[in-house]
Amino acid sequence: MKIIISNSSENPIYEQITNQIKSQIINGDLQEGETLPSIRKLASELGISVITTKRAYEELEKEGFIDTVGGKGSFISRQNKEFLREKKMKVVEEKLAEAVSEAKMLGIRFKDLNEMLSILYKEEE
Amino acid sequence: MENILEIKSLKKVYNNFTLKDVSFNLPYGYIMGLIGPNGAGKTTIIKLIMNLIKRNSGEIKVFGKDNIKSEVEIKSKIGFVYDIPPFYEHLSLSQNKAIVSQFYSDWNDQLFGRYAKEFEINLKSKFKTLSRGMKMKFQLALALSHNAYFIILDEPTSGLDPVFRRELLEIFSELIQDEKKAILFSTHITSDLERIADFVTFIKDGDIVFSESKDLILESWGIVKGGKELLGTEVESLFHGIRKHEYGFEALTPYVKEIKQKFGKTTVSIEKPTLEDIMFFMTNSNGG
Amino acid sequence: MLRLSLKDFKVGKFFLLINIGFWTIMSPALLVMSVDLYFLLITLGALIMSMIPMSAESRDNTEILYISLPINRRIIVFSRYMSSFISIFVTFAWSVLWALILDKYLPVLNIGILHRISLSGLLTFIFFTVFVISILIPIIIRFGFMFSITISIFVTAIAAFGFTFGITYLISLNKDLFSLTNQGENGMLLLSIVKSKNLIYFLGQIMNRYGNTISIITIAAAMALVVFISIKISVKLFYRKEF
Repeated sequence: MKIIISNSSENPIYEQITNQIKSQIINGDLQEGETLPSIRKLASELGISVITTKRAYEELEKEGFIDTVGGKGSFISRQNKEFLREKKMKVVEEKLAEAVSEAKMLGIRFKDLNEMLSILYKEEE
Repeated sequence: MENILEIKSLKKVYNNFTLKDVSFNLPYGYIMGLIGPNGAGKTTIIKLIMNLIKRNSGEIKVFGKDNIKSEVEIKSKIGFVYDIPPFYEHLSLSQNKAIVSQFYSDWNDQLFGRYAKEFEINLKSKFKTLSRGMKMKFQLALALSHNAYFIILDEPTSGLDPVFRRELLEIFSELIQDEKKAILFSTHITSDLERIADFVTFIKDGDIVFSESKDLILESWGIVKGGKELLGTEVESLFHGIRKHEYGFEALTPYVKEIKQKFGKTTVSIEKPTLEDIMFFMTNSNGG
Repeated sequence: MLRLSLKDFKVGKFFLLINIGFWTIMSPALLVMSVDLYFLLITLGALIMSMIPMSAESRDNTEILYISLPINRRIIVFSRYMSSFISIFVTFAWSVLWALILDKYLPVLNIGILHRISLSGLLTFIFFTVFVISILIPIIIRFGFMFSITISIFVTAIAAFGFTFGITYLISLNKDLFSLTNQGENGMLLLSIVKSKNLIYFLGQIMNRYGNTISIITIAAAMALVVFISIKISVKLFYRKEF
């Protein structure tokens, strides 16, 4: 697991943690069943307050990304594959929406945008 | 969450200073920083907890017990580090240690030896020859060597070099891995707290300004900068320590959400404050 | 409590040894001059011995240390008395022992200590010292060490009078029972003390009248009372003391 926090970021630290853990789960860098460090260990390693890590874990648990078993620690929960895919889809959707609104602002027509998309897609292959 | 320290309506009256109605709690397993300008009452609070001075009214409970009624019992589990170390100047550190260690039933001499080595303290040297930093390290080694659950420190980091300050914070961090322990320290070097504190209690002129989780404070307080035309009596009540300059004003607010709603991102700039900012603006505030 | 008292000797080690050394060296001269003077100065030495640890405490503010350790405040007070009494006892015991040694090995000095002091005399001085310490300790607790040093001279003088006057007053309550001199109705012991200017014989006179055992027991009881009251006051003052 990799966590890098920035003190100067706009995002509160607990959010940076939850975001990074979430993306690692979505990317598959963190597997189902994997143990997470205790909130105290994480806090100590990152040099931050235990309350921050506690909050991050609580958020992740609320959203179903991790499970906490009292006395045993926290684990990545069984991710609903559909749910994960949906989440990833949503990310792509959001990025496309951004591209569309930018394109509209610049006066690019749908045809040209579509062409751009084809070229980019083919490039990736 | 059970509390290792509970302070309720604490009051202490001196000739020219009064600590009024101080209440706050520290749960087991956390670190609390006590901040405030000089003379605000930080040392007074610590002395009251240790019963070095008598309270006029109010309650102090440590480990759930009254700090006066169960004084000896509580103190066997408290490690203390004072601003002015109370040791015999003409005796060596070993001799001073020998006097202290015999009164703690849980004294761990091996552990003390390890800390002495880690902190690079020469136990044979006479106490009066030590620098302030060394004296503090000695006290700390003592405080950590009898399995204390509650470590109380009064200005532990002033006089320490930045390297050891970081080491100290790491030691605290390690200590707190044990959820049954807690640490309270007063300081006016707020940058140390930024890193490691779970809770921050800010005291000014004998009053508690806030006692909150540090995260919450840093999220709901902010430094607002904008044009002077935005100021008006209604708005000013949301700010502390307004500083007007040629081209605008800056002020501290505990109501970041409200300010954001009221003014939006384009009219004002809102920055995350440091604890030092908070102390600075609050000290210059006229009570706003 | 004993540990706490013994730490006083660890703390004052250096000066205590100097003190004892000083008196040891001075004593032959004093003994030759006057037994009274010898014991008076031993008394002074004993008082100084008791106060040396207290001065270190005051200078380094180590009371704060003991209050912060898991030690009952009452025990802290008791240990002060205990270490003072140990100092007093050691000083007097050593002073007599030393005089005896000088007697045996330096007969040329012609000290003859055993002929020149009486048990009553020795006890008088010991009790007197205990009396002074019992007055000084609460004062030191309440007003601090420095202040107490300044006034200790006055305290000692008053104690000297108070001591004899107090006992005398008790005795005068029933002068028939306690009449020690045949100086008529106002045969107060104090007058005869002042006349004879000799503290040593004060107790001796009581002992002559009543026999050793009873007199010693009475005086010991009086001293126990003084110490008891002093401790009670000290404990109260110490509990109220703020740092």
